[in-house]
Amino acid sequence: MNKGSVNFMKKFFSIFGLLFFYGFSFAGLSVDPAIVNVVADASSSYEGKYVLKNTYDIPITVILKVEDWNTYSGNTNTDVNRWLKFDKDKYYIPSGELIEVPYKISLPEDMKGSVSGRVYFSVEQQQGQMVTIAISVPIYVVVKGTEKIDFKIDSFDLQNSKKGISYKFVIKNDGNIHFRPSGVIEIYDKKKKKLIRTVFISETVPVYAEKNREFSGVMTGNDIKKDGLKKGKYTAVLKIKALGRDVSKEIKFKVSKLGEVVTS
Amino acid sequence: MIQNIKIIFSFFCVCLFVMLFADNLVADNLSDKHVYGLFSENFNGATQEAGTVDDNIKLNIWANGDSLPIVSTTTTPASAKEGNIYYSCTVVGSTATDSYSGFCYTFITGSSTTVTRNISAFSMLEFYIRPKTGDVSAISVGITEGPISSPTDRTVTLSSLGVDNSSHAWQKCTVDLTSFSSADLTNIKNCFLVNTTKQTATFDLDSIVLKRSSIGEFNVAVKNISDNLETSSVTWSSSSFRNSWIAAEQYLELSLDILETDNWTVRIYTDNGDSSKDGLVDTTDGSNVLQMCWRVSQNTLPNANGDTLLITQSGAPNYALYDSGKSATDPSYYTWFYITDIATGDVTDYSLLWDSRGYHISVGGDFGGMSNPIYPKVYLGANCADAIGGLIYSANVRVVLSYE
Repeated sequence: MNKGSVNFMKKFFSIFGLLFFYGFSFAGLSVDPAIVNVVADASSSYEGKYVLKNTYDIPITVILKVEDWNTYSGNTNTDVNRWLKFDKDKYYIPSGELIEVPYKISLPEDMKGSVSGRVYFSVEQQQGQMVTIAISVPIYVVVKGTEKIDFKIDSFDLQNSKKGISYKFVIKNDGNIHFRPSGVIEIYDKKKKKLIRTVFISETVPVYAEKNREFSGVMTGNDIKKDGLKKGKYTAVLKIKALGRDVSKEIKFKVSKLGEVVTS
Repeated sequence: MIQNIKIIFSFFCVCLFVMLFADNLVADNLSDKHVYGLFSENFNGATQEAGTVDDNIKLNIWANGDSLPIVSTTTTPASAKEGNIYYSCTVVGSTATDSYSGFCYTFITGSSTTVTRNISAFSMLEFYIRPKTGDVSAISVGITEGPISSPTDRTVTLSSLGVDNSSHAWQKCTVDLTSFSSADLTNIKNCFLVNTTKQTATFDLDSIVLKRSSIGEFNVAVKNISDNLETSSVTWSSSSFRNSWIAAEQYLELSLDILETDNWTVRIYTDNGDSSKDGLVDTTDGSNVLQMCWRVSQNTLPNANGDTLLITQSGAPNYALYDSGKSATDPSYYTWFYITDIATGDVTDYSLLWDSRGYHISVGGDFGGMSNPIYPKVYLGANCADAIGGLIYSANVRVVLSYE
């Protein structure tokens, strides 16, 4: 075979290779469930399992790692390994198969409030590989009967932004369990007699025990456009609801002739 | 010999053509995906009047007595539930007898020929609705079963799905397709249906997907920039030595087919054991670190849009990284992010690649919704100016799908 033929065959196999690889672009790792929420008594235990699936065309080894993550510090020993146990830290999964990974949560007698952790499932690197994929899922455990629900709105502000009037508030969780707040911002006239606008906060992100979390957004579209409020003085009331408890905070603000907001 | 090769080549060209043609004929996303996007900027699925044969849908609108519904897309990222775009819908009812209206996604082939498809692999139809004015409670949603000549709607009301009409926030709706006990899901004409009878309301819709009960996958493939073929390692060319910011010769292609909760993120870090080792670390004693950066795009780079992959660093005070030729002062053009080590934690958004808002376009806080095919590409760079000859550098790059 002459040199031209060899080059020709190389091009040919490149084309063929393209087709070959095309069929393998949808493989990967899956972990189920994505979030574990457990409510249990102190001194009790809970057993659960993750289902891992390998959809690669080759067997993989999944390395399991757990770590403390936003856990309540009021417990004397918050180490995730104290309350969360897996049988192994490496799991072999043949190509195209799924396996069950059991775990056990054991709550010591002195545990209170909540503990939380994160479980990393990462595909073991082959020799020479530089990139690892991982799926990281949280486990939240609330110790029944020891919950302390205590949160407040730490700050609330309205600001001008390129995209219109934006809101920003911080929720401070002084309790010992996490929660996912929702709420509304109600815009009233100066004397707080007439409700002018309502902005719904449908956040589902958690505020962790003993932590602050900032929430922000632009009051656009259905809510408030930059020119949606006439020049004047207003009152904004932020109402937050979580775990059956309500908190609120009120601020006064002005809207200028240009539609810009000034808080007082 | 040459003649033989030509014959073989011709044969395989025919095979190639047949395979590519067949690929366009057989189902791809519909049969492959666990999360099948009907109106989604993060999940692969159908495309309106432009998809492959089995992934082609069309928006149909009708009315009898009621006004013709207005179903238009609105591009307001801050107001969308997912990505940048959502549907703004207006229905206006009348008092006429037997008045009704509606809209739907119909499976089509070609430019508009209605067909039925098999969606029996999917158990849920999920979408978000944001009631605005009027009352949406009695509006019904669901699917339409074939045959085309005599279709049957399978619907439930929004109120039965728990939609609170008084709340003008985005609300998640899940239609259990298996609850339509007598429906033949192998023969579906409309994969998303909204029926109204005399109702007057405005509302928004977003993130409309079909979901299987089994969970899908997350994957990252390493591919060569030169030929887009999969490979196993990330490399920098030898010409990078002693040069400042240089892009790697490979990119990472992400594939996400899981939608378990809305609070998902995909982040990228180095995992080199120390917050100061946020880059390529020499394998001798780990004392020499070449800082790394990354950027993500829906498209392959470089491209004609000025995404050059020629990384440029601005001066003080922010030392931003951007593509040569783009603005050195506008953060919306700072598409390159300094990589952080996982030991640093998520103290900034410099590790955030992708979340429900779309892929992380720039340091300015912009996110981009995507359209089929949705496989975001992550490009890596390194500052090789201080590379020391004779040393070998490596990094553990970790791409993590996380939930909160």
